[in-house]
Amino acid sequence: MSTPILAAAAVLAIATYAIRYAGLRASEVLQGTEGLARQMDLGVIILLAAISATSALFDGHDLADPARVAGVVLGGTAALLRLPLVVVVLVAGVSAALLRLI
Amino acid sequence: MIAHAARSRRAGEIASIAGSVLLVGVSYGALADGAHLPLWFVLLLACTVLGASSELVFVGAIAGGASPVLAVVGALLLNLRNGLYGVSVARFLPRGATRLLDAHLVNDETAAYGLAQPDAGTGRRAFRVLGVAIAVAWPAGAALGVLLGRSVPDPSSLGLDAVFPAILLAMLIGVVRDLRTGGLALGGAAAAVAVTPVVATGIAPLVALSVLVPGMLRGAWRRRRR
Repeated sequence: MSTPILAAAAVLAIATYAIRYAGLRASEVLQGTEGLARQMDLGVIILLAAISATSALFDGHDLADPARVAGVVLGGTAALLRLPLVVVVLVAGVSAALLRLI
Repeated sequence: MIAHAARSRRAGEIASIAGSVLLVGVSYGALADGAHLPLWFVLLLACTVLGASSELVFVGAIAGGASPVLAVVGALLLNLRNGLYGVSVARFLPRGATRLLDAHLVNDETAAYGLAQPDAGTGRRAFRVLGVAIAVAWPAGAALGVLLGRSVPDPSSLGLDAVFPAILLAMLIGVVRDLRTGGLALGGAAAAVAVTPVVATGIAPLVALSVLVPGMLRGAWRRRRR
């Protein structure tokens, strides 16, 4: 383990914690601004939608393989049908895995 | 009776999310082992960073021979979103010393799951229980992966890469309750997908937030006219 890598890992851990903690503290500053709180919740929903979409369709900068996309679509369908999350997880994973066997 | 049913449903949900995290941890550990990173280092990173995708990027960059500075910057870009999650989940978390621990538990899954709950008390409990479950499952999985090394199957052969987008999708379906929110979420997702091929990893989801700008400008304009 070289020193630069160790130092980098320490910076990553500390800065990541700082980002998380700063978010919790920032809520105090923004308190009382009801409109802003709503915007923040909207922001989180948009972020999660974007993360779900990009990680379903891309592998880094390249397009993901069709099996992953199909797995996410089938898992998402299970979620739309209000099936339990365990089922969503199994449908997504198993269908992607099976499609790769073909 | 109904409360009991809801509790056991949540237990199942938390178990399935943490179980998926554990499996991804195993494949991440195997990858780190392939990059000749020692067990103690992988475990330390897993416990202190506790951010799956950022650790994958960090370890991948180091293994690929990138400079440690670039590796850190790339990984931190992925963790920026946790700041925004923090602002939102703070609503149901108490102030004071416990916040120092709560902060470490903020991630995609805990934020989505906490906000998907019907009330603040349930949100806080769901956030914390899932957060602790992930804080155990991720390092445990990573350590297991390092120990098993090459005998771990490729994560894609288990379809794990399809599981997390589906989990987030399932939570979104529970949270999006009106057409405007759904439209903004879709617009944001489309914007992120459009820029993904050309921007650094981690930036695309942040670009999605730009769909909020027109609404904010309109709000500011209205306030000025009043």
